[in-house]
Amino acid sequence: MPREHFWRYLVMAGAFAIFGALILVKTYAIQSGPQAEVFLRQGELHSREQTEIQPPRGIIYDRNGNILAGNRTVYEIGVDLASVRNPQAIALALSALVGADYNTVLERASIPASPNAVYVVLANYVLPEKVALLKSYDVSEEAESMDSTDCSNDAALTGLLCEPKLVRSYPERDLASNVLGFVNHESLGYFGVEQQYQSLLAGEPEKVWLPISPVRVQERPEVPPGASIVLTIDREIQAMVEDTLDAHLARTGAESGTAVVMDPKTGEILAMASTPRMDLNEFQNYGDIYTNEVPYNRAVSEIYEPGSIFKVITAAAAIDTGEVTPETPFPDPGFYNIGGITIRNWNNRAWGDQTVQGCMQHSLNVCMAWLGDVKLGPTLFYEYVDRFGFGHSTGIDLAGEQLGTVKREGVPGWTYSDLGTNTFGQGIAVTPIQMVMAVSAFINDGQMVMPHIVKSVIQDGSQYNVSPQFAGQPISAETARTMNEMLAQSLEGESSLAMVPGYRLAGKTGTAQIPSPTGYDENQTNTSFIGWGPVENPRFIVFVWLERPATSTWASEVAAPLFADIVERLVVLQAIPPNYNGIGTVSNTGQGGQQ
Amino acid sequence: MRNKSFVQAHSQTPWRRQMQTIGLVVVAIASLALLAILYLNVTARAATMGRQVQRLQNERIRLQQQIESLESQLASLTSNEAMQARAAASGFTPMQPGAITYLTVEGYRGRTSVDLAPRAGTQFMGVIRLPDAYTESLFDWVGELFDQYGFGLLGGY
Repeated sequence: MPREHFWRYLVMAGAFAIFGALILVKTYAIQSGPQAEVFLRQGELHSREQTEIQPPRGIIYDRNGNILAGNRTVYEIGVDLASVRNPQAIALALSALVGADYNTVLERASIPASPNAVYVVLANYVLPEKVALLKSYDVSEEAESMDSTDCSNDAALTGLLCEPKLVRSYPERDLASNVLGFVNHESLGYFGVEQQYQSLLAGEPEKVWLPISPVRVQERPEVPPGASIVLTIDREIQAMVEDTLDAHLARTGAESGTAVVMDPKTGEILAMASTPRMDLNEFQNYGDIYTNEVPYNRAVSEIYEPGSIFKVITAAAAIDTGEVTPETPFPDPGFYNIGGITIRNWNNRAWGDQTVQGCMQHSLNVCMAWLGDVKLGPTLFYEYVDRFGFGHSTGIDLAGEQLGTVKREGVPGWTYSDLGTNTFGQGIAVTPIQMVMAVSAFINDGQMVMPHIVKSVIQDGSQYNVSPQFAGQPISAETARTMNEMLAQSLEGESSLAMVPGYRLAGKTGTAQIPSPTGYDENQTNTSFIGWGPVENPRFIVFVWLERPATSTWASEVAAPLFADIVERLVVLQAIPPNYNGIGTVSNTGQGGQQ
Repeated sequence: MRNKSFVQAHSQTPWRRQMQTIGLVVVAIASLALLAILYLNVTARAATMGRQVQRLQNERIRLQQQIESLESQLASLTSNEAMQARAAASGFTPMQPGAITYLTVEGYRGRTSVDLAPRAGTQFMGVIRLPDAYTESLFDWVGELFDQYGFGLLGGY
């Protein structure tokens, strides 16, 4: 190389060196300058894509582990517009195999791809069987594996994507539908357990930025699934109660029915049914089934005037104050004047010399008004009503619980005559679950047990059991035992249709005329019955309510047989051996049994 | 004297000095290329493994969905209504109270609470943690080596 040309190389080297140095300087300036953070953010933005991770919804089991609400796979079918080759073929395949509208699909699949139009949904909630048909659409090729999001291996269907997702499934269809509630396509729970435990069941969906680079795959967060729930409901008992209720609705021509079965020691609801019910897999029919503001679950969401079953509260209050005993005499004249109105018995006749025990046995309104007016007075009576939980939430873990209506002394609109009618369950509105909780005091030495529907929660690999809780003690243990025995004798004394051979039961009928804007209608009644057994060691409380029965207006003729039918099958399902010979003798056969 | 001039002539030969410079540059470039190849190799392997992990993650999600779907399907097949129908078709009838003989077993408390908690090892495992070898860059690796051995060598003796 000639020496005189060496300077050229030096110049070139210098130029490159300066250029390189400038690049370094500029790099440093960018990295440390005011725009550095903006560039970093932009870089970060383009290295990730935002997506929402929806954890699978928790499963709902019955107390024996049978699935009442699970999840099933359905598919969203859409097209990647940039990959679409043959919109007509896609429209034809979807209309033939999935049942989609040909023209709609064709129109959507023909949209030109652009930055604003990348992907279009063509069909949603498609069943796996139909997607399987699509995947094997081209019979000349081997079927596409189900783990691919491509719908088909047919070249004509290129761009058609099948994205799997989970939706709610109810294998038992309408069983316990009033308790479960349902989940819509937006994964929102409505009514019952699904609404009450929405956040627990649904888990916490996370909107996250997922790194595009596979090297950063470990940054993908793991979203834990929603918690699963074990209910106190027993599937077999629930099915039996629903079947029996439906049969009696058909037999009596009643407009609606409600039945609740509860374990009186723990407050666990074993069955809860009301009408109407619906197949939860077709929740979109809700509006057609529940018209005119019909409550979804009457047991917790509908208030009614309970009638004579409320007499157990009046009698318990009177006995608890020590003012009366079951043997306290009451000469029944057939009427009682209170607050300017005259109270009469259900058959308008005088029953003569009675005791408080007889008052319960014959369900005498006059006697109850006397107890309320003379033995209790409004202050004490309403104090007991309050202590039994009427007008308050029971705390049951179901959505939509109503509180009932209790007009107390001193409240505007209350008159002294209300005291008289309230004592036998008219002019006061309660929910069935409030009645069930109130009478649980008679079984638990005066303590009311809080009704609940969730037995345990399964979360993060552990199962957490729900402990029974007491909801106060309205009466003493002695009063509770007295009421228990008195109501058992009442049932036996009346030779009630509620009795079941082999089992000693206690309970009370309730017939209440239904109020209307023009007053009470004698021919429109709410008939209910609440009872429990076996009296010596109660294993169940059963409440039934038939609204506006057509065959008879009396609870003793329509509600009592329904109670008996339920109990007759319940003792078999609960394996409670018969131990009562019907003449006041209980044989010792132990608490449990094996069928 | 003669020997000295030979050494001087050898060391001053321009093409030799150029060759030395070129050699050094080539060695440097080759070293950089080796490093780049190594880096590309490690990065490519990490990306491949990452893709595999992504595919397995998707596979796991798909399998979880499939399991849930199959469980629901099984629950439908064994639903109360289905089992009643199967029992009736098999000639079974509901047990009547009078037809039952009870055998009292002392201490028997009936059915116990169902345990549905997942078995150990089958539940949610938390965040995936890949070994560092799949995530660190070459520079991280060299830095780590330096931390591990470099200071030891420098600080020894």
